[in-house]
Amino acid sequence: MKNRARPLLGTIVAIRADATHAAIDAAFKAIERVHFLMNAHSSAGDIAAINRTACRRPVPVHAWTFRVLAAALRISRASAGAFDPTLGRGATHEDIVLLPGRRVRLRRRARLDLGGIAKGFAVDRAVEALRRHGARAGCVNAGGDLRLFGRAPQVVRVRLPSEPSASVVLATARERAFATSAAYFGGMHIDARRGRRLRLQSSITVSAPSCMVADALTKAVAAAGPMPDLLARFRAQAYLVDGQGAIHAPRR
Amino acid sequence: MRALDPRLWTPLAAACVAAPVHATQYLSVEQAQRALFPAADAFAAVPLQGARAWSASRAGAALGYFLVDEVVGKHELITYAVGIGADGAIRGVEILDYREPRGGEVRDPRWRAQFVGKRRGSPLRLDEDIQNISGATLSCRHVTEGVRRLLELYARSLRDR
Repeated sequence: MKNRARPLLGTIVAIRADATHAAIDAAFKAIERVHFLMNAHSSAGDIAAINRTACRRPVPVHAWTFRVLAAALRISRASAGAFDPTLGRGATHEDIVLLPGRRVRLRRRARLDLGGIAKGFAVDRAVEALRRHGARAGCVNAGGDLRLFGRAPQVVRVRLPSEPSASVVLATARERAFATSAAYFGGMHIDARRGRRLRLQSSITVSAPSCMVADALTKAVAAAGPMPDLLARFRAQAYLVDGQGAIHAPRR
Repeated sequence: MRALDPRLWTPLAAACVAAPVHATQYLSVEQAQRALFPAADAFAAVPLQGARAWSASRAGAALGYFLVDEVVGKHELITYAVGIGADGAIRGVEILDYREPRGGEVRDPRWRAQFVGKRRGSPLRLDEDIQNISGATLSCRHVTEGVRRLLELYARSLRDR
């Protein structure tokens, strides 16, 4: 197993895998690519282009960006807007129109921000790159959004919101992704429906088959609570870790 | 807040023992040298105030510099390495290790003092190309600032050697 980490996506991205250094380099490269395409602040990326011009004319985007936008819309609709990739007054996910030919149009001026989903997608692409280069097992962890791959089950821990230097065992899993929303890194969430900032006292973790889905759903659950139908639809599970380290599951 | 409404959640097994998050070593200095300069056949230590530095070469031809530095975040201490090519461009940044002190260490003024005066020049900011996609963590910001500092150090002390 090799263990490497780089500062990417605004966090520390760690990769542990039974892979060559070249494979890990390829995984980091995939993450850099996602960052370049979908970071609203990189002026040459797709999201910046959409925010600049898509309210006037359709903007062609990279296949990866189109995929993430399609997933973001699916999760926005399924969560009744608890997850929403648009920022700003009045704009919602309903203002995003995906057109044939991987083009994107906005019905009105809006600011897209894929911050709540692109990090998970980047983790998924890194795992894909590792596998393509022959890695059979490992974990890609982008500052708390992680994905396990390989046949052997691995233990997943979650930091205590009240004491970030301590953690509790959340689950043992294989071929699964986990994303955590918590307050201990100064994390704030914006409730998309009310435009209000929420400060989390506990942390919320969602597990799902892909890190992209886990990443987006953890934002929805943090904003609106555990929605059993939504979680079931995406084969996801939600956990709440309170300040004492006790783990809770959604009440049925 | 609705998301945390206790009526929505039910406790799972209570046997969850908290354990400290351990330090993680990713690469040794030698491994990081090979990762950032795979073609190099020699690394020679270079005396430098403010960071540990090595020059990388292949068959006597200079390939660039390899620098190692540490930053203090809110919850963590990070040792990282930067490879700077002969053209002055960053070849890569690797985290060597990451550890989370439990109290004391970061607050120890002597420990902190080693970082005082290391940052010079214009106010540091996050580079556009390393800007956060998701919520910022302090750790990345500190590494980003550290890399900027090493670039200044390189420009001042190493580039024209």
